Amino acid sequence: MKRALLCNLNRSVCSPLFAAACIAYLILLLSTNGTVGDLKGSPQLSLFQMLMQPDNPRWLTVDEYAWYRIWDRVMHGYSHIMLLTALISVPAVVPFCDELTTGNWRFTVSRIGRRKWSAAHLLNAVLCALLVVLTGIAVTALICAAVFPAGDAPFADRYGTAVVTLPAILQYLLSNCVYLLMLIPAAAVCTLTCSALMLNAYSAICLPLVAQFLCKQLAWRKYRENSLHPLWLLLDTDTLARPEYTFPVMFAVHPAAVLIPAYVCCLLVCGLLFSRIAERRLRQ
Amino acid sequence: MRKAWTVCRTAYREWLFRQQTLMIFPILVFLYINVIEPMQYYADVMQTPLNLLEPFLCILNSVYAVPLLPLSYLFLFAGYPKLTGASVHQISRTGKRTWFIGQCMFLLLAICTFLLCIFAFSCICVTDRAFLANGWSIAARQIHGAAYRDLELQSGTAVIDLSVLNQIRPYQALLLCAALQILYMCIAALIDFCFTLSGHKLTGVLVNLITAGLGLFLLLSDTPFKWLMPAAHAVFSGHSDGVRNTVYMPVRLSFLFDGILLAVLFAIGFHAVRRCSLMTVLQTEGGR
Repeated sequence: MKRALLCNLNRSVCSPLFAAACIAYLILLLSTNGTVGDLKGSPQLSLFQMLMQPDNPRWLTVDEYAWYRIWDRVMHGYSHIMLLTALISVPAVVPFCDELTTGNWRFTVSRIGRRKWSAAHLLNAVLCALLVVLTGIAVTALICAAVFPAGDAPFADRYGTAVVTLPAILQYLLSNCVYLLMLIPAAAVCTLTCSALMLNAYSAICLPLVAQFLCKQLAWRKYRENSLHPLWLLLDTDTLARPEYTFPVMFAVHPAAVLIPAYVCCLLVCGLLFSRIAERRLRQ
Repeated sequence: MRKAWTVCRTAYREWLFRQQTLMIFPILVFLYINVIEPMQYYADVMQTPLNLLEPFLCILNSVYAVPLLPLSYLFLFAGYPKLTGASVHQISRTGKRTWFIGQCMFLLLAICTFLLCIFAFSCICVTDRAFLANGWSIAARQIHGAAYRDLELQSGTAVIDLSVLNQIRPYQALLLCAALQILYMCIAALIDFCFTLSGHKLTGVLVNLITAGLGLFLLLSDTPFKWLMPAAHAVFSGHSDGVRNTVYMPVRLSFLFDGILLAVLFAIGFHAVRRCSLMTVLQTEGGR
């Protein structure tokens, strides 16, 4: 299995698709509104705008700048879950579909067995997705570290006055890390299972995206019509991605009580489904 | 001409129904999140409708969206022109010149389809809260006012520049901006086309990436050198000042620049297709 995983990783990571996904994620991180939140009177501008116009009076000065907030934003990653899930799946899913359609996978399965083959592909998808995100975050963090030195008030709030405690910052950064580490594997595994069903990478990436988009529109339409039941908001993946808000406020439940079992179930169901699909395809 | 049209129709049909075309959905969702949704939001806050054309015009005049559109288009266009056994058969029946003209027609048709998709999507998204007239909406104008300063900053790229609002009306803006964008995308596609015919496809992709990246960098840094790149000519809002009646670059000069560049690329492509050996294509096909 180790060799199969290494082989899959080699094929996915050393491909132009991986580079393209990393570049696209980096562009999203740098250019999307709301990446940087600590600007005088402008909470929604992007890091790219800030780098291009360093003398703009709207920015805080370097001394005033609370650098931890930039790191926080970078750690939080690109906030639109729909596009992120589609993007991170590309490097693993496209070679996987190529392998399925050419029929080369039958040789690998005959040598290592169906379960190990499935596990190698699922792990490959998870690792590739994590690598795309971590590469983007690392490059953005390096840019931030080079452009925004620590200054005199590294723990200051948005106006450079109050001081935020170190444990609070660490807790915030850790929660973002956990959020990314939980979300990305689930998204990668789900997309890989979809691609095993559809046998086409582009359908597997785009159709869930379209479904998520339509669900979000439906949820917000209900919200605007004031006929919103909390369950409608579960259709919106961006709301689901903020469990600390959704579950305690709407359902009066601690997020961990719902999310952890749901998350484990989702991964298990996807893994089993993927293995079953492989078995069916092998018989065809 | 009929033969060229047949070549164009065959390539277009094949391109339209391949699965890679599905990648248009992530592009549309990206444009929705970054341009259309913020526009709807500030129109809702001001409680006034938008003009139906405004989201599309905002996309065409956004400094960020303009270099992204040709890159997205190039992704959808990847693999074209196809030099396979079937295309050799087509070339032997139509002749190299007719085949090349047919491919160029396909290229133009594909670009128009891509822009039409974005246009239709932007219209559908705002259709329940928009009007259609040859005048700008109150929301598009008021967003530049001091009362909505925070909202303007929050909206980021989803604001139509004052130079567009103060210079021309929506219908004229639609024609001009779409024409400039089509020319820019034609340039990007022809660069790719020329390199593919010369057998250096990857170099073509790299040249396009560098052109778009450099164009974006020069556009944002706002130096006079930006006019050397086709990206600057594709953004109508950069041609004049938003408040004073100062023209930095006449639009007709932009059309001239794009026209000359296209003519040069067309000549290079024509030369490349004449030099392209059909035997090499067949051998490569057989080697696969």
